[in-house]
Order: sequence, then C-alpha cells, then structure tokens
Amino acid sequence: MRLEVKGLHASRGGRAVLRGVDLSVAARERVVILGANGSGKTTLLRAIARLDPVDSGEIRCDGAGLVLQQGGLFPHLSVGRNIELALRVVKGLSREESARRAQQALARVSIDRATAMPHELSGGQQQRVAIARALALEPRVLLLDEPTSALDQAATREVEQTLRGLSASGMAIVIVSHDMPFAASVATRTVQLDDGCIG
Amino acid sequence: MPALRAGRQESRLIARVLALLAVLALASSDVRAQEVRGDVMRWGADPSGGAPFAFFDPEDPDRVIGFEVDIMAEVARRLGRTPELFRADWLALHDALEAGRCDVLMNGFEVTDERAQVAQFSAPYFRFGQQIVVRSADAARVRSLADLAGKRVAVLNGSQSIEVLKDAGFGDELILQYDDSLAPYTEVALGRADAALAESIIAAYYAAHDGRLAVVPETFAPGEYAAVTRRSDAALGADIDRVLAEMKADGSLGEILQRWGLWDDAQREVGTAKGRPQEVIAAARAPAGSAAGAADAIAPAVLRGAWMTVLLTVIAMPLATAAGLFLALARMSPRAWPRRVSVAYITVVRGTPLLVQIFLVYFSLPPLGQWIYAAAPAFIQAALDPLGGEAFLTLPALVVGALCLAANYAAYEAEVHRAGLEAVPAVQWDAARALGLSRAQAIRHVIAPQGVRIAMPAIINDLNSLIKDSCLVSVIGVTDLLGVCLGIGKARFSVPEMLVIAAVVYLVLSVAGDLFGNWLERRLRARGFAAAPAHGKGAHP
Repeated sequence: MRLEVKGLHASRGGRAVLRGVDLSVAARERVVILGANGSGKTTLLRAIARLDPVDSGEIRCDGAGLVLQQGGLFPHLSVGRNIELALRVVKGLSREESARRAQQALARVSIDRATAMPHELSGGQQQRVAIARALALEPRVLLLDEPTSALDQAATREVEQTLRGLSASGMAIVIVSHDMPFAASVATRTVQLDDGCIG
Repeated sequence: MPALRAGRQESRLIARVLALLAVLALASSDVRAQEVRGDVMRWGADPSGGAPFAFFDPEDPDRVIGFEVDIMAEVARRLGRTPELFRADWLALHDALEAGRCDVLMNGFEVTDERAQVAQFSAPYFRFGQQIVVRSADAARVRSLADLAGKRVAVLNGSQSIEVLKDAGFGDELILQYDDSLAPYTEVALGRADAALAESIIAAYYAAHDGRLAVVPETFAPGEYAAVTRRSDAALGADIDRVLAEMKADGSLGEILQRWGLWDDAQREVGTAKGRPQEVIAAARAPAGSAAGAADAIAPAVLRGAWMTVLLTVIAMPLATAAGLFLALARMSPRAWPRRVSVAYITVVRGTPLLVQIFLVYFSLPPLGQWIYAAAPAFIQAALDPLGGEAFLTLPALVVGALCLAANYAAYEAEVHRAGLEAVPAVQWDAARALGLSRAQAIRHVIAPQGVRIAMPAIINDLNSLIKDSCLVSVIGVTDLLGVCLGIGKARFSVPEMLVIAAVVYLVLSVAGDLFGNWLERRLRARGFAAAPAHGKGAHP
C-alpha cells in the first residue's frame, strides 16, 4: 500500500471533523473522495500532507505531494522556478540539477513553457504545473484538492489525461472533488465521506 | 532567463548603485579624519542665522562670508592653524562644541552669566547695544522701550534681547521669538509685530535698507560677543585670548570691523584700537535686487542643494524599506520577544518628532562612541582605531541625517510591509509548507517577495513624503535644498521668492519620484501583480 490511514480523528475549531477515517490506496489507483461541503474532505487531505495536526489515529505514507485547490502557484516566479524552488531550498540540489528535474516534471504533464509566468498560462495549464511541482519532489502518493473547481470542460479533460498518464506509470492518486462527471470519469474507485466517516 | 535571475541582476545593480552613492556621500561631506587633525581649527557658526556675522555670500551662495569669518581666519592664521567652518543650527552649536564636532564657536554669542556657567568665553571681540526697529509710521512715537509698553516685540530666538525685554517688564505673550535675524524685521513690516529688538549690528544690516522700517537711533543695554570653547579645553581658550588681545592692540581687529561697517567708538571700551582707516566693503551692505535677477549666481547652489536632497532620499529610502521589512517580520513572529521589540521600536519612533530624533542622535553619537571606546577591550580599540578611534561614531552630518531618516521611515514602512505581507493569500503559505519549506524559507522565497510587491504603491507614496521630510536634516548643518534656498533668501532679502523656487524644485523631484513609482508598478503588473491597497504613511507626519 502506498497510503494507509487508520482510525483518524481530527477536530477544527473545537468541532470533530474526522471521526475514525480508514483509507488504503495502492499504486496505480485513482481514488476520488466524494462528500458534501463540511464533510471533512479537505481536512483529510491536509492531514495526510501533514499540513495540519490530528487528534489520534495513524497515517502511513512515505511522502505525499499535495496539489492545493486552484494550484497555489507562486505568482512572482516563472513556471520553472516554481518547481525548482523546493528542489533547491528543501532538497539542497544544485541549480543545474534542479532545472533538469523541473524539465522532467514538466514533461510528465506535457508543459514546455518553463520561462512563462503563471498568469500567462491557462487554468488547465496552471493546474498541471502545480501537479508537476508536486511530482518533482518524487512523492509516493499524489493528493489533489478540487483540481477542476475553476476549470472549463476542455481544461478538465487536460487534467484528467494527465492524471491517467501518471497512474499508468505507477503513481497512487487521491482526489477530493465535487465534480461528479469528472469523478465518475477519472476514478478507479470512489469513496464517500459522510460526517467525518468513510461509508 | 526567468524572473529569479532577472531579479538577482537587478538587486546586484541596486547594490552597486547604493555603494556608489555611499562613497559619494562620504566624499561630498566632511571627512572625519579632519576632525582629529591638529592643524585644522574647526569653528562653529550657523550661516543661515544671517549677516553680517557669518552668512552665505549673496553673489556666490557656496561661500560663507562675514566679519566673524574674517576674525576667525586671522585668529587661526596667528595660531598656525587652518580655519574650517563647522555648520549647524545656531541653537545646536553649543552641543556640537561639547560633542567635539568643533573646537570653538564664534557666532554672535553674547557673554552672559548663565552661559559662563557651562562654557568658557574668550575676551570680547565686539561690543553692541540693543536697538529698536519700528514701522516708519511709528518712528516719531517710539524713542525707547518705555514707548512700547503692551506692544508685541519680535526678537531672535535665544538672544540677549529677550532678557532685556523681560527686565523691562514685558510678559512672555508680548515677546515673539524667531529663528533667524531677518524674520523679526519682516514681521514688523508685515504688521504681525509692533517692534523688533535686536543687537545694533543686526538692525543696521537688516532694517536700515527697508523703507517700511525705521531704526530708533538710541542704543541701550550694551553687551559683548565672545568666542566660546569647551571648559575642558583651557589651552585653546588661552591661545584665543592671547591672539585676540594682540589683534585688538595692533589694530587688525579694528580694521576688520571698519571694513564691515561695524566700527564705532564703543569698541574702544573693550580695548580695540581702530587701526588704519579702511573702506567699507561691498558685502557689508545689504544687496539690492531680487534673487531671480541673480539666477546665474544661485542656480549652481540650488542644484547642489537639490542633489543633497536626492542623495538623502536615495540612501534613506532603500534602507528604510529593508529595515521596515525586518520590523514587520519580527512583528509577525510566532515568538513573543521579536514582536515586543518591533512594536516598541515602531511605537517610540512613530510617536516622537523626527526633528527631535535627528537632534538627539546627532549629539549623542560622539559621546556614545567615546564611552564605547573607553569601555572596549584593547583588541576592539585596535579595530576601531582606523575608523577614528574614540571618534568612530562622530559621523558626518549627512550620514547621520540619512540614517535618522531611514530609521524613522523604517517604522512607517514596517506597517506598510505588514499590510502587504498579510495581504498575501493564505494558500501561498499552504503551498510553501506543502512543498516542505520551513517558515523562514517560506517567508524569504514566497511570502516576502509577494508582500513587498503588494506594498509597493504605498512605499512609493512614502518615498514622495520622504523627499520633503528630508529638509529636517538641515538643523544639523546639512545644506539640502530647503537649507540652501533659505540661506540665499535671507542673504538676498528674498525669502518668499527662494521658497517658491524651493517648492518648484521639490515638486520636480516629487514628480520624478512618482514617475519612478509608476514605472515600477507597471513592471510588477506586467508580471501578474495587481495594484494593491494604498496603506502608507501618507501625508506629512
């Protein structure tokens, strides 16, 4: 298993949001988590990415890459620098090595505009750059929060193609989404999160 | 190549420009080494105080002339030293002397018991009387102070005239004090004061030429001017006394006074011989004609003043912006002590007048430097010696002025930066943390670069404000745009005209600052940054 979550409890602002979540994801799986607003979907992803603390339970994962809602690209850095930043600052790689890995990551999402600024790209392209930025750190599982919420149909298809390509090459993918047609089309498995529990 | 590299090239260029400006700043101001050189005699005076003591030559505003300049030149020559004028606001001269920024003061210091408590007076070099000036229409009515009972009398700030008026029973509300010699007469001419009282020497120069004014002939309450040295510097005091005595006896002092049209028989009472008869020089008479008519003479000085203002601004604003960013980050720190230090700094600096800060810093740095040097271990003293030894904090006025402006504006920029940093969307923090960046790394690479861009319009707004606030450093003797224009205005009796010229030049500089700001914002917008909310220091504090 690439990701194993067992008995996860988490609360936000004194309210129990996750109440004993269990989830296992294997390589090549594309798991879509469905659920109403406030059901705890985003909390679950952020907990797995270790952005927020949890109350109890277990998360076993060797490295998760999180793609935030609407991408969260750094607007002051070019596409290439967006990807290189963590490689250089966190991983301590050289400028040349970082640039090489950024090119590789962009190739995996079919983007060849490393020198463009984020705002010069379409919404779908921005989302794919955000995916490439997470991929460059070689995660074992890729987490995406509402990846299509701001995209039109064509851009949604671009993102779906990219995700299918990634899982074909072995990546485990977890997606939180409201977008039922997208979820139905992209998922190898869907799970329902209701009131902090997976049904 | 991409943005990061372009940004790095820009910052390298900016660093080079700053280094160059720092060198220029040092080169164009007093060199510190001279302050410890024995053969230079640094004497303090305030040329903006007015004629005929030591004042900007109306025909060549870069030069300071006056009867005290001539006396000091002769005193220094006889002591085998080179005179060098140290300029500061008149009220600050005594502190400058005590702080070791100059060796002696000669600038119309009247000998009083009060001053003799704290300073060492030389033998007197000039004897004067108090003299009343009124509007021409009142000339027949006013013969003495008694005729002015209940009237408002204008005087020079800090002068003996104030005591004379108080002794004559005038209340504080009737004594109007002004910072320079010309202003009391202007006030009388305009009707805001009923009379002006000042030393006869000032009345003769400033009021005699003005058809609207009449000088009451009788003088009274005689006083004497003397040079001032530090009480701890008895040797220099004795030297100056000896040389002044020679000059009084051999007629050379009397000849200087004659050339400046200042000779009268009262001088014999302080032992001054008249010497050989001398012609009164042209500079001793108030010039006629407007400043605009002498554009050739004043333009270079005004331009140099404007350059000084530009220099102050381009040194102070980048420093203020950088320091403000650190203060803002400290204020947003998760730890308590950086927050407390930052809030305390911002509160104190924003809560006290910039003028006071400039004065205090300028005069407390030299003793602070001496204290640090004395308390430091030998190896630190050895390291400080090439920087001037115990005078290592006796920095040139321009440097102190620029640093004070920077320190003051940093407090305002801190708030501007805080607004900018807080306006960076939360998703940027999440994205940075999701990529594994630490808090410090996120601030450095993600949050601060965006926050600064968001704050840029407000920073540019404050740049505009700083250009004009920089005029406050003239109190420590930096001859910036306003200082130069006021000096020329007083020397040529055309203060309003010179103020208009100063205002126009400030406007030009301010528009240039705005154009620079617009260019910067256009560039940022071209990179995907929208204009941000203006939240700056705004108007003059």
